[in-house]
Order: sequence, then structure tokens, then C-alpha cells
Amino acid sequence: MNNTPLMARPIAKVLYPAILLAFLVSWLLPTFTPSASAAQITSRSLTLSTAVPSATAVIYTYAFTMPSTANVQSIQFQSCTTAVGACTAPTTQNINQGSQQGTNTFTSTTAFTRDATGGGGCTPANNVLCVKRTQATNETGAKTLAWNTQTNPATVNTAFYVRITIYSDTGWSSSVDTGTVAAAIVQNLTIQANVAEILNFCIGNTTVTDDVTSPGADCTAISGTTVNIGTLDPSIVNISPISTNGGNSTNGVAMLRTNAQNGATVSYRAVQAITGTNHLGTLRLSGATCSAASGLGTGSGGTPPAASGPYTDSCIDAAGATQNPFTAGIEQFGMTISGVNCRSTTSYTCSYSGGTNNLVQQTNYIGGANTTTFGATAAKGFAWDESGTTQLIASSTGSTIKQVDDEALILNFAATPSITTPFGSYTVQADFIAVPTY
Amino acid sequence: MLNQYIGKISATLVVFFSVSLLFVSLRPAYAVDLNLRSITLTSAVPSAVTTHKYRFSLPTTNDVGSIVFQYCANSPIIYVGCLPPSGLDVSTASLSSQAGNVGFSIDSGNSSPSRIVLTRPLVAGTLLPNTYVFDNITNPSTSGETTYVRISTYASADGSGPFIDKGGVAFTVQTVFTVGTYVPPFIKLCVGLSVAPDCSSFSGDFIDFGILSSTHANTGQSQFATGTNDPGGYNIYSLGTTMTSGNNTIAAAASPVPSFPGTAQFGINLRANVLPPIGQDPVGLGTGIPSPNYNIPNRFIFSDGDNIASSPLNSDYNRMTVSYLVNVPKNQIPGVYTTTITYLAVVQF
Repeated sequence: MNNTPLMARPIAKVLYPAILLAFLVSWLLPTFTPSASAAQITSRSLTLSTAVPSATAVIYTYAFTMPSTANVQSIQFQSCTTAVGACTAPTTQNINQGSQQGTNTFTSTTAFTRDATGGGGCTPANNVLCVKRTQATNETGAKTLAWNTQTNPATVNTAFYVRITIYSDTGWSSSVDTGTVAAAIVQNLTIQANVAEILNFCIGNTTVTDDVTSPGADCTAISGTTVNIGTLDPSIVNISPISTNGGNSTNGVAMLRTNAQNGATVSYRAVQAITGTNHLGTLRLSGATCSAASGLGTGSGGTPPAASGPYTDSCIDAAGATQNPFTAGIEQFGMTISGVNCRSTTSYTCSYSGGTNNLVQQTNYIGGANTTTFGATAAKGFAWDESGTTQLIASSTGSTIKQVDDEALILNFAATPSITTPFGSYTVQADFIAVPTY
Repeated sequence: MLNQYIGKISATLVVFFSVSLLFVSLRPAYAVDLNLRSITLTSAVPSAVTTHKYRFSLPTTNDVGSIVFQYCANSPIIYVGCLPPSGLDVSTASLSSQAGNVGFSIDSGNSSPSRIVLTRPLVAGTLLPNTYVFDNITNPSTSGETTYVRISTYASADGSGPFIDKGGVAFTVQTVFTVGTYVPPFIKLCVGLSVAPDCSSFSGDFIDFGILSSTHANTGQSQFATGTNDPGGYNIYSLGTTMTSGNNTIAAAASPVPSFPGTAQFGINLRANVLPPIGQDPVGLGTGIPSPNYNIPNRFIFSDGDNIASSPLNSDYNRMTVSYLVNVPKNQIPGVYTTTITYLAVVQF
């Protein structure tokens, strides 16, 4: 116990002043060496205009809240692969370029400029951006500062950290506040989907004769393989639908749906009878031997039928590939399209009377007065190529929009016999073909 | 132990990367869709043996050694498993023509009933429009079903390995559509003072001879037109009596005779006459002709139930003009003389 005072006194004489001096120094030091007392900026973030690896011309927008009240005349942005510790520059990143993007939100909006030389605690490098301004205005609170022409790091799916140091002087010497923000560089995510080629095409019969009623929502609702135009009489032209004397009250219908971007065509081919001779692709009695010289002859090539017979064979001459009027009693058979029914179309606005249907009749198969008027008359006429050559009757290739969504061609068949046309049941078969071009 | 463990890991990694590389190699990163691609069938009838015509353009000039046409019932997407369409058979297909990128032949060894492989020596592709026509293909058998064809190009000669470019086309087969009608037996006959040659119009049913004279012939005329599709033709009969007024009559001509004014005569014929000037010859495209007794100009006859005209086969319309001749003697008893003549057409279908 006695030794302690003896030993303590000289030590105390030295130690106590030293402690006091240390206390004073520690109290006063922040005043003279700001870095030692820099406060942590809060609410800090870094927003990238794009996070694509190696992207150039990227805008980095820094946002933070200064806890201090001080001049802000220089700032260092140092990008590192880690938030703390020794700084390793992110691969190929370059932030030491560009200029302030827009107006900052400091109290004084005097713009910052990049300094390629730096000074004090800021030495420019690819990962170090030194900016400064001359503006002795106290700043505090929330700030944003955006910088353009930044180049992102190259490594995908990695983060980088920008250590921000705010200085009150213009030479990066008197730090005020510090803080670190982070951002991530991510790979592009590619979303891929395949849209398959679509073709729904069907042929059937329908009682629909206009563009008011849908013949069926889609091809699954289209059925029937026959149109019967009833009992012929040389005093009239039978035009489907015929509901008397054996007619089955229907027209033909051909519905098409396709996403072919180059359009689609609809054609028919008169199926050639496998028995009999001549006129194999028109209304005929089964197995009939018909005269090639009768009436039209071949029924193809656009030649209209002769005005006189004899029409004594068991084939009803076809109208030919060119539409021509029908006269009762002058034996002819043909087809036309009275219009395009749009009532099942849902993908776009479609109106036949408005001319917004994409599937359009071809010249020789327009039943009405024009391509916006429904109709089928003997005076306007019909066409039918009996030769078996494929005949184009409608197409979307010339339309502005070439895809077709369940547009339906209403097919009218017509015939009139000669007084000498032999009696019996006449049939013809047709093969309808859709060709989309993708 | 450690070495064995490392060995297993190494083997696993080798297998993993091998499979990964195989997968990558089968899905080229830069495959491009074929342009303006379509298929046209000569016949879209189910199960028909027909021609399939392909059109498309290559999007690149990569070397092409083979082209594959894969028919599928389920999808045109080349990455999706393919279900062959039922009934389809392309194994007997022949390449009847080719244009654009040419020099191909069918690689039958690598083709199948639902797959055609075209092969040629490896040559750089051109951007010309291609056309390939295959004959003797049997269509799918299911009506209304869409069939997709996946077209893909390869550097290999046999359609193996990663494809270069690809694209899908589609077609449907449809049950043939039938149009039917019935032509009934026709016998058209129209009668009137005037009728159109095709019976489309007619008018009049009464002939007034006025005051009968004994010094000149008294005449009138009517018309009928007829036609039939009866292959046995038709017969036209005139039914009625001579002109009568109560019990008084004007005698009918029992055989074709000229006109003798001042004598009692009632007769008809179907020709253009000069003595007296009445009537017209038959007109029309039909094969009907007057019966012999009624086919002599300037000769008249009337007999109830006579066959006055006929055709031996189906006949277009003929219009015939019936000339009526009435002569009376001076002592013809006064009165109003009338008769009704009915014309009857008979066919036997």
C-alpha cells in the first residue's frame, strides 16, 4: 500500500495530463480532421438505367440523405467489388467518364463536373469518379445526383458497390459524410415462345344467307357435305338455298382460319367422275355418256355456253371459268359466292358490308352487285370450271391484313335445265383446297 | 476411397456435359424460318393419291445437303414430338420437279411413310424461290384434320444433325362436297292464239271467223309449242268435232284437200299456206314435225283424235301454227257454228 502512492505520484503526474490531453484531442480532432468524424449518409441508393453487363451510356442515379449540414463541393465515387475492405475494381467497369445528367437536387443546384485529375482523397481511375463544384452553400437532407455515360461491369449476376465520400471543399480533402450503395449486374433473361402455324379450314352446308347470322363459331360447328338445289325446271333458274321439291335449304360454306402472314387462298377443283365420258366435272347422271359437243363443250376456259343446244345428253353444261348470266331453259350449272360471313370473327373488326373482311372473293365469284353486297342472282351469273383444274375463288393475299379468323364464304350453286335435259338425279363433286403461305 | 469418389464425380460430370452438348447441338441458336412457305395439294380428298407441291425460300446461304419434310398430325413445331397422320403414305413419293435449290433426289433409305428426305452433295444454298413437287403421295385419311409439315434443311446428306433453317406449313383434307339436283320428266305444251317459242308466254283462246262466206275461204290460226326430255319423244293429238250449230254441221275434210270455197269444208294443217294465205311453218330447234296429213301446204284435214305432230326423241321446243280453214256452200243453214279443239301431248317416260 505504501509503495503505491510512491509509485503513483510520478506516473500520475505524467498520465493524468496525458489522459486529459488525449481527451481534448479526441474531442477537438473532428474539427480539424473531418474524415475521422464523417457521418453515414442514409436512405442511399444507386439506380442504373440498365443492368445489362458491359452496357455503355448507362446513367447512374445516386440518391442519399446527408445527416450533416455542410458545403458540398466535391464527391468521390469509388466502385468496388466489395462494400468494405480493400477495393477491387469491377471488371471492365468505367465510371470515370460522362457528366452530370440533368439537374441535381442539392439546395444549390450548381452542377458538378468530372475532374480527370482529382486531388486530396480522390484519384480518378476507371472505378473512381471525382466530381466537384464551387458552391459554398450549406447542404443537408435528401439529395440526388445522376451521372451519365457510365459503363457497366462485365460480369453477369454480380453486385458492385460504390463508396461515396462527400467533401465540403473542392479538393476532396474535408470529408463530410460517407456511405456505400450497391447495384447488381444481371444477365438478360430471354423469353421465348413459339406460335405454331395455324390452319383450320372446313367445307359444309349452312342455312345462312347473309352476314347477320354466324354459320358456326368455328370449323367444329360446320357440318354437312351436300347442297341439293331441288328439282329443276326449264322455266326457272334454281339458286341455292332451295327449300322446295327436294332442295335441302342450304348453301355451301367454306370457313377459314389461319395465321399465315402472307395470306391464304381458297380454291376448288371439280372432281372428275370415274365413269362415263365427257363433262366429267359438272352435274351429270352417274355413268352418263355425254357429248363433248353439247352446249359449252369443255366448260372451261371462260367460254360462255352456247345460246342453243342441243342439250340432250345427261350432263348439265358448266358455266365455265368466267362468270356469266343464267337464262332459264339454257342448260347451265355454276357457283358463286354471295358474300363473306364475318359473324364468327373475333380477332379483328370484320364486316362484309363495310369491306373489312380479309378473305375476298375473286372476280368471277362475286355474287352480289359488288364485294360489299350480299347476293346471288341469275342476272349476275355464276361460274364453274368442270375441267378439274384448280380454280381460285377467294384470297386474303391482297388484303392489308392477311391473317383470317373464321371468315366464311357463302357458296351459292345454281342450275337450269334445257327442255331436253334428260330426267334423273344429277350430282357433281368438288374438292375445296386452302393454301396458306406462311 | 477419395480417388473412387472423385472418379464417380468426374464420370457424372462427363456424362452431364456430354448430354448438354448434345442438346445444344440439336437446337441451333441461329435457325431462321423459311420464307414464303406453302404446300398445295392437287387433291384434298382424304386418302387420295395425289401431288404435294412445296414452295419456300431459304433465308440463308448456308450449305445445304438435305431437306426433310416431316408430316405430323399434332404440331408444326420442330421441337415437339411428331405424331404421324393416319393414312398418310409418302414412302412411294417421287420428286417430279424441283426449282430454286436443285440437284436433290429422294433419300429413300432415310425416308418413311411420314417423312421425305431430299439429298444432294453439299452445296451452298441460294435465296431463289424453291419449288419441290412430289407425286404419288397418299393423303391422310381423316377428313377435316389439319396436317402439318415441318420443313428443315441440313448440312448433312441424310437429314441428320442440327437443322439449319426450318418452317412449318399446313393443309387439310376434306370430304368431297356434293351438289345434287333432280331433273324431272318434262313435257311442255302451251296453246294459244299466240305462244312464245319456249312457252314462256301465250295469249288467246278464241277464234272468230266472222260471217262465213261461200265465195272465199274463211281462215283462222292458233299456235302451240311443245318440247320434252323424254327420250321416246312425244305425240300431239287434236281432239274435238267439226264446227256445229245445233244439229247443223260443216263437214270436216276427211283427207288432205285443197280449199274449195262454196263447199262445206273444215280442216286444219300445220304449214304456211298460200291458198288461202294462212299459217306458218314450224319453228324451233326441236325435232318435232307435223304428221304427214297435216304437213302439206294448202291441204287441210280434220279428224278427231288424229296425231297431228310428233317427235321420235327428246326434243327442244317447236312452235307450230295451226291453220283453220272453213268453207261453206251457199245453202249452209244459218246459225252460229262453233267447235272446241283440244290439243293433247302424250309422252311415255
